[in-house]
Amino acid sequence: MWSYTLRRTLGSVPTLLALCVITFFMMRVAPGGPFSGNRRVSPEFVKLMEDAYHLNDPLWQQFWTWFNGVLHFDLGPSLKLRDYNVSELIAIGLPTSLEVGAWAMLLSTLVGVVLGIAGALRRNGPIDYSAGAIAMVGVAVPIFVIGPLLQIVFGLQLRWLPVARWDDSWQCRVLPVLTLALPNIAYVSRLMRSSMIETARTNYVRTARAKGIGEWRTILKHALRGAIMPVVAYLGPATAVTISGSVVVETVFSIPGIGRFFVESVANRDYPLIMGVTLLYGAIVIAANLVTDIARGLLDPKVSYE
Amino acid sequence: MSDLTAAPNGLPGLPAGEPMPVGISPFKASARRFARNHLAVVSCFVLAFIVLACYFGPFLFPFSSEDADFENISAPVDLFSAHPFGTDDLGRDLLLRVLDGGKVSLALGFFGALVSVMISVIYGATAGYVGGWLDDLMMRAVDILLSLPFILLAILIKVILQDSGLHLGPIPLDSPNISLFIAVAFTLWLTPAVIARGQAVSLRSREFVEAARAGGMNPWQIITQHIAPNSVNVVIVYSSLLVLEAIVTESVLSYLGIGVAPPFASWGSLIDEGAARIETDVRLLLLPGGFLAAVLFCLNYITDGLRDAFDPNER
Repeated sequence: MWSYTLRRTLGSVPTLLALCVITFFMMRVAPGGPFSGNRRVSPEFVKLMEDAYHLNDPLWQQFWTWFNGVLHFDLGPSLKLRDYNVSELIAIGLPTSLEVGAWAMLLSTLVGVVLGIAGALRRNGPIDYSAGAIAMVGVAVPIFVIGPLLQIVFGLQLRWLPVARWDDSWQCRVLPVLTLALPNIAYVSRLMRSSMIETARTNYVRTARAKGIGEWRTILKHALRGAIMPVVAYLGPATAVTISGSVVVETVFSIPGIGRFFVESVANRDYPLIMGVTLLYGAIVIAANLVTDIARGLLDPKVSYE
Repeated sequence: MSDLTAAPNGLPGLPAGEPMPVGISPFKASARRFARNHLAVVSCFVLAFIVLACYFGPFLFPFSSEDADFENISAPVDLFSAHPFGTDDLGRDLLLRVLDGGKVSLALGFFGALVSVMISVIYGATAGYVGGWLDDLMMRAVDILLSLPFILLAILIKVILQDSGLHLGPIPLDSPNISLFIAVAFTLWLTPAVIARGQAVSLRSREFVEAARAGGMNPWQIITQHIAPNSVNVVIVYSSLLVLEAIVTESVLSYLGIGVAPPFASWGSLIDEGAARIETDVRLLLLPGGFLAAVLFCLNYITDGLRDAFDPNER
């Protein structure tokens, strides 16, 4: 078990390295830079600015400088927000993004699992059909349409929640978390439903029923353990979906998180910020996949560590 | 699924006078299964209607989507007036703007999916046919890119191309709309590439490929003339899903303000405009959002239908 965890952790290092290399060279292969877009600046000045940030050094040397910094948790200066470096900007935005993202992941898993079980137990009943409808909406309607719709209904018409504000109150968090959770609620509930239907037909569940354990204990203690495995396996990809969504949700609800920084840094061609955020997101997804694999190994005796 | 098993000709047990059962090809069987899926068939018709409306509907209007009608500013919904869904605060016809935006969204979705299918089949066929360390390397790269959130990849490619000054022959790769198109296509090819590679691996040792090799074709010819064409069919089942993802990717980028550039508009950029003005006029959001959602619903049902019909093992 421990050797497996260690091996998988070490195995993710080359992936992270490759991610560094790919993003760095993808960014720099194309001509054009952060200072070249502005036509009112003289070429001499552009040259000076680029020299100041070592943008005219040989590419491998730039990569080495940057990579050396990454190893020391220094992601370089921000080219546009001159008073900050990238690590500081991430430190400002990350707690907010993590808060929204973590609540959304928690909500989507819980609600998705409950809806899926309810749908599987009462197939073609009212709960099943409404869960199916929610799943269809969540899969088909993009969150940048759902978000503003929720703003209209709960913010403008009912006036229960703020439209787009960010402070310490819980009300500000309800709509963004709900919007971000919906696509994953949809996917998890579908996954859970089909897997539960399959598990409910297996022999060990029938045996449990035949032994006379109550229906609820059969479902929650015996069937759920087997049926939840696809959902556990989906948690890694769900993290990637949540990150994609957070970029949009933070724009919809004007939340000062990393997603906002990322969209802005992209428009400004703020290389170090773009690469810092890409690396961070990649590391989060890789870590989530790692945790998912280990959790699967712990929960599912059929997964072996070789 | 009983229609798949065709009875052999001249079945001895068949009563006299009964018509001989006719065998049907797997494709026909799949097409019949698809036709029995009412939701998917209805979706096809709705989608076709929306596509026709977007491309031919604007000809029914005597004005263009950018024309401002100063007599009717912020006109309400009146289905029998010149502006069926009203106008915005500049007097532009709302329905016409949405139809025009649909042209851009649908075209980008369709061609984005098409290009991504081509890239994925060539890439997958190369990796699968050549095999060895090249296969490992190519698929490892796909795995890494697949683990990135798709938005990130799309944004990165879009940004790299924009303002890069790169040209491919007469095509300016750095123009906002072409770089958007490339970003969409390059975000989507990853998953189908994995599927195409699987198919290529199973084709590698088939007799006709061996014959081609024995006949002296070089690997590149074999990949492009034998492996790739025979890998397309496994990817094509996912084509509606690719169109869906292409439309979503395009509209997300446009919504974030790094997509289509004026004077063009797409559903994404219209939703962006509408979302900024939900307090004054909800229609600006609801109309493009409704069209986009309708198309995505249709594509979802079609995807499910295609998968059930062509890939019965999946069920």
